[in-house]
Amino acid sequence: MDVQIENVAKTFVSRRGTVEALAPVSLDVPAGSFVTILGPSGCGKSTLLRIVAGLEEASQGVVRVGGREVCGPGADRGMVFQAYSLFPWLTVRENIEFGLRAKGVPPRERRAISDEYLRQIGLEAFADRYPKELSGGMKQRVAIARALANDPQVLLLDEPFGALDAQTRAIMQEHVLGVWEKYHKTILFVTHDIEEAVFMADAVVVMTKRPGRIREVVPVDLPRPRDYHARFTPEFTALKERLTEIIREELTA
Amino acid sequence: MRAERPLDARATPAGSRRPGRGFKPLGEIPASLYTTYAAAGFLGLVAVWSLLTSTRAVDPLFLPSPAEILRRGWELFRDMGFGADVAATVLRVFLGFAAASAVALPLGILMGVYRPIEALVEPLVSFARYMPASAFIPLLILWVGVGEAEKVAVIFLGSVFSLVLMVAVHIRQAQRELVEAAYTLGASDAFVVRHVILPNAWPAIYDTLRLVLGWAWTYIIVAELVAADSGIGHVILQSQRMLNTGNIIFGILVIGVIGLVSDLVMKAAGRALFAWRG
Repeated sequence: MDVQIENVAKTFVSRRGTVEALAPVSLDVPAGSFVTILGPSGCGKSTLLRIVAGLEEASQGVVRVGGREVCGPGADRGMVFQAYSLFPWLTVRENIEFGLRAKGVPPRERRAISDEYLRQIGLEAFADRYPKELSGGMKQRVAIARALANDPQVLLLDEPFGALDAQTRAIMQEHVLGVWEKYHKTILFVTHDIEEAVFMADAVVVMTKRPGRIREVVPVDLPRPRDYHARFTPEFTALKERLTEIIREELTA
Repeated sequence: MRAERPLDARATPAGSRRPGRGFKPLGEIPASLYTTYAAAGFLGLVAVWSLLTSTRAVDPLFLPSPAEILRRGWELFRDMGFGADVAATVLRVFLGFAAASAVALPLGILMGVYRPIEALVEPLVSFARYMPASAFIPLLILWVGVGEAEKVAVIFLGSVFSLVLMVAVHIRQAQRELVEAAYTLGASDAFVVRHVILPNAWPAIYDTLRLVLGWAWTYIIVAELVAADSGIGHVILQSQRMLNTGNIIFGILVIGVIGLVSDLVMKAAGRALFAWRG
């Protein structure tokens, strides 16, 4: 399903005054595409993602997913958070089955689906462990599997690898690309890491400082499927350089 | 021995073998050492106590020796039917505490989950919480007499209000991210309450129950001191009238032991129930 963001803006009102987090933003994300949203911290990119997820209400504008207006969170848009947010009282398998249970899928069917995703993330051996026993990378793989098990049309990832070390992060990026190629979801991926933004995306949406606006949409034409070799090509370096310049300009302007 | 020392020092990580180990701020000690210290604390108390009594530094009328206390305790059980008193007290605490939990859990959960219910109930409960349960004893005697109902009611009043407030606070402490994650997975409001907010709060609620159970014991003794014909508090009061300090101290110790044992049992049960905790 495609995601249409139309003139979406967000103003936070508190006792100390109002903060304009997001200036009106419009963006069309075609079905099945992988779009990364890149911007300096506090530019409202997470806010934009949360509005698409339905966790935050837009002060103006609308978001449509597959033509239907978003008016709250729903199973059609899976979300992966930076802090993993696995349910610590549930095992890895029960975490993956959470959405299915909420939907009332019978246990046997649930188990078949969780088996598939446990295999997909290579954590069959950890099915009955609790999240506290997992490393950061493993936790995030479970969180991705949990979102996917629900079979959402759109996957929203909010700086999912921000807390991981560089090596794990690189492996997780390839993992998400593998998932995307296999399940053909529409993916919106928020990050402040330029290399990550380029490596993953069909197009990088660059946002300005607060209040966030879309400064530029940079298409990424690197061939797919991509693995770490892609990072060492001149095309990759050129894109990285260009985005670095835009972000630097944005930060020093 | 002396020749081995330097080798020994090299084999262990720096600092761990220094005298006074474990005295690093927030330092850890092995479980066996912990048990040793704990036993030393109890033994130290008994030693000081024995010293005070055996040297006649204090009048045995006011503080009998530990051996004398044990002897008195044995007599209490053998001749005075103290077992029935202990059972009566335990039952009262249990009933009062169970009744308080039965009211406080649902009410506290509703208060924590739904703001309007909190607004309705919270100020009332906060107000009631500051009224000492023991002050209600005269009133309760008028209302329900001096029987079992009065004892149980004191425990109930003593624990229910704090329990409600603390349960509500634990419910409120649900991590926003977990709730949001559940919503993005398609969970309904009711599903979020039942499968996220409640499981998230259970360990803290359980710890609160443990804590408040300890308070319940202080109320029961007060209740039994005022009007009772059985129970540990009753025995303590009777013993005071007869200057029987040995029995008083033994009664107090029994309460301590029951409290310690029930707390250890609840702690172990909690560890098993909430094995997922980090």
